[in-house]
Amino acid sequence: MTPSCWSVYVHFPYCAKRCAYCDFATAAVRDIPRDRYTRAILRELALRTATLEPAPIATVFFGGGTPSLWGPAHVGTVLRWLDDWGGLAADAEVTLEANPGVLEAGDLDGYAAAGIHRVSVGIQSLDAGRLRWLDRVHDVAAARATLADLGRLLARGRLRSASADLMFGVPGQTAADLAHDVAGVLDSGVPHLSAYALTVEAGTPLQVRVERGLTARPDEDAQADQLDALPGLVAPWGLQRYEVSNFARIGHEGRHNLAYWRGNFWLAVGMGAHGFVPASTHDPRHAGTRYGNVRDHEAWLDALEGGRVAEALHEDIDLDAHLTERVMTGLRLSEGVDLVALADRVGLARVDALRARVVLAQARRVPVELAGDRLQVAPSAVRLLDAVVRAVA
Amino acid sequence: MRAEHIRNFSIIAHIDHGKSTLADRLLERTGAVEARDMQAQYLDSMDIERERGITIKSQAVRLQYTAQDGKAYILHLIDTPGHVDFGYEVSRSLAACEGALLVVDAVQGVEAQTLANVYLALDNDLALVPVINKIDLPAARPDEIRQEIEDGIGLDASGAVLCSAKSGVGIDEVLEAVIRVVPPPHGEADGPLRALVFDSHYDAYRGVMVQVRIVDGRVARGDKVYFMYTGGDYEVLEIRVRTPKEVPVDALELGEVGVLVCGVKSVRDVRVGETITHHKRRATVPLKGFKEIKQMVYSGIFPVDSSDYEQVRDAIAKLALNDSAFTWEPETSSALGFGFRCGFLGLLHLEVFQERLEREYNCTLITTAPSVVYKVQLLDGTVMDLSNPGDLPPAGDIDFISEPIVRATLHTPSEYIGAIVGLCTERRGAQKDLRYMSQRRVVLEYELPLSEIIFDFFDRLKSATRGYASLDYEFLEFRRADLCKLDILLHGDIVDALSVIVHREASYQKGKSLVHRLQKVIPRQQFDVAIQAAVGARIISRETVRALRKDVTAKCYGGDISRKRKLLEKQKEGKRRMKHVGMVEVPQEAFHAVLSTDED
Repeated sequence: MTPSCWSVYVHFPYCAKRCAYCDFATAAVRDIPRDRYTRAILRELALRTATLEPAPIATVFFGGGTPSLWGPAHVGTVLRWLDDWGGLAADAEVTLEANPGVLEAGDLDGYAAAGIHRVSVGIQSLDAGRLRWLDRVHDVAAARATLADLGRLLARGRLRSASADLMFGVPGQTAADLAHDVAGVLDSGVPHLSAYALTVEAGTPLQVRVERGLTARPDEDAQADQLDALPGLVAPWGLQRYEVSNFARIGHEGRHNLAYWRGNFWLAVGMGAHGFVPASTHDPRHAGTRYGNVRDHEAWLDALEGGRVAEALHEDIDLDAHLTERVMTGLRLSEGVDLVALADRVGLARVDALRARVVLAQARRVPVELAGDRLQVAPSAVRLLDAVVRAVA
Repeated sequence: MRAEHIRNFSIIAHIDHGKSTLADRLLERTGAVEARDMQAQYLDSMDIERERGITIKSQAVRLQYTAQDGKAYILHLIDTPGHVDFGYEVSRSLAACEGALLVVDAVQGVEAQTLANVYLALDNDLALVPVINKIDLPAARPDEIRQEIEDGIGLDASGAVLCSAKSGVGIDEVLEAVIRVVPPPHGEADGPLRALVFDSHYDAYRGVMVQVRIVDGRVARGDKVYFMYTGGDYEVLEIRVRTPKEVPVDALELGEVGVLVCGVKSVRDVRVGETITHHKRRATVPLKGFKEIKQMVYSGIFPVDSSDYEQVRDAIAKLALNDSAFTWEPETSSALGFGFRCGFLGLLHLEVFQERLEREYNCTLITTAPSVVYKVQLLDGTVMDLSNPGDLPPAGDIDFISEPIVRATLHTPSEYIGAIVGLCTERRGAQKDLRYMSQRRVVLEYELPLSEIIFDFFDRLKSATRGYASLDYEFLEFRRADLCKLDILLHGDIVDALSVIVHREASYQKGKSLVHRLQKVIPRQQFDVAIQAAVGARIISRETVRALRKDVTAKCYGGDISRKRKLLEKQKEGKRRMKHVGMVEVPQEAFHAVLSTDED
């Protein structure tokens, strides 16, 4: 199965500093090897696309790490390569993640000129105490300056869209605190908000602090209340929840991330990046192949400089696993899982079995609904989504 | 082989004192097993036996040994089960022997389990060969241990053999002592056949393999035989001896031990303790000591997923083929659906059975809390046997309930008398006797309700006496008691599989602690779950498992999907082990919450 258009994820792992709660593929190094990294990315793109049918590129996402540390010239080089291969679609969404702490005035203008249409900034909080608690490199002033920059670029049409990340459910954070952060972000004119419940991930410094009792564990009730409150908090600015943690004005949903949640294919390059491409086996029992690059930047660089990719994960996703993933990711969306599209990929019998599980789960009052051919979770039950998924996936 | 060159013996030892290692060494020394084929604990063939260090099935091996007197001997080593649940099987295995090695650890000395089995051996008039093992340990104190054996058991230990089964020191001396001390079998070689059945097991190709010891006469292939207690006629199709490889032989003579294959279809047709004689030339009197096996403990076994019912049924049927002490019949529970009511000798028997179902047959099971059998006298004059508390008729129909009482014999060093008296009193025991066997050794006899000792009595006893006390019990009678049914309600509905019969005086305390423990094991659900304990219509305790407020992953992007899917699959596996009882998801361990009485 060949996709009619592609999504491409490009990972840039380098950060100025590692945050306490972060478990992403990152590397905090003193001197970032920008040129070397760019050459390796182009090498990996060449290797990975060798066996793929070129098709127009609908979305590109530069994630990290802190890709705003890469520099507009490098980002532009990568975009030109992609345009030469499949062609960037006229309405392509090209997103760059940026970190307020390392953005200088005018940086975003540079990226916009290099072909970035959308910027996603990790604001996390507009409260000085909480930013310190989260170990962020930036302060409130830097966050506000970045938001103001985004507002200006959006107003002038230099960016087509923008997004800001906030963290909620941080110990000590009240509902009023969250409302203050939301207002501060959306007042800038940013049409998209990602609001994440603080999660204590295994292997992070935060986990160590929580386990040693140095830091309070995030309060489940407060997080549940704040999850429920968010749609109301963002509504005055015209935003709606379209995914558990994502809110947007209509037309500003993150299309790249939607590709993940809808089960589409995407190409991924860079240290630790994960992609999902048509099955290399061409075996009809496989929905696709997922790969994950090694998370060690030296190992990843060395391999590409030797002319090969270094993967830590390579698995053919069979149809049952694909259905599980589609339910798991699709139910995160307000639009739910399109069962007709799903049956096209995994066959009608599997979807019928899924419908049967749904009926059984409903009998046990699991909050899952069938709206026509869409499987959905009621807005009030979003905070219990994983339990729903366990009941039906 | 003439009987005077035969020696039949078993090994008595406390757990960890080296019984299996010594048996391995004896097999190796007599050439029965090549060192290269040696697998530790050769005789304990089941995984569970090896892991728990206990022997469940009896095994007998034939060893050829040329002694220092230049004569060739045949030694039969009969390995016996080692747990209070299997006391009767132990006694029959010992009855097949004339002697036993009493293995004592050179550091730890005489311990409780050793003593209990020593008394069984002495009851069966066995000659004991004291063996002090692990003498190569730096802390070995053989002289003191010798004194302990003399003081504690009253056995002359001056000739005790010193050995180290691990390093192979003293193994010849052990074998020589067996020849010297254990008497040869005595019986009537020309008399009518009497063969003692001390175990049997099922073989898929040959049917039941019957382990026998020839007490009188001889048996040959082709003989027509008669089972004196159960009354069956059979023909001896094959005779085998284990060396430990099975070797066919033509006949078994007086004193020999071997396996008869005689077309018996089910292990239930051959009882341990049976006497086999010839069809034509019958013995007049069967051998003493036959007892009907009685299941003491009943438990429901249910598949977690009701579509596995047939798989579980077939697995139970297969295991039952080899377990004559086990009974089963279909059972339905409103909470758990279709399953089986199963009878066991005791809790260990139950646990081992359940573990084998799960491990060897890959069944996912819920077992309900074990129950004893009660006699319920109804007002209409009828008496019902109640092995499932859920089946108790309404209180208005019941005249009274009787519970099984056992006579328990506890051997203990005198310093633990206080602890044991306290434990037995707490368990509604009545002291019947207290005797000093020596200055330090005491025997206590108690009448105790069986229901009070099947749960954690043995564990409590062991911890209260640091393992030094031993427990043996036998059924005495049914006795009227003030008993009532304690029901558990989840989310407003009675869960029949959680009901227990309790003494009325203890019902409040039991209900409270049971509810408390259930609150800990029942996971949070999407709604508040009330857990209540009730006697009749009266609620005596209540706790709530608060509804889960938040259960959602904050971020799930491209790089997370494989990892999250695998986590989800793992969680679903855990969920499969949960049972939906009405609306509530209940984990397996909830059904055993009633077993532990420790407050934590």
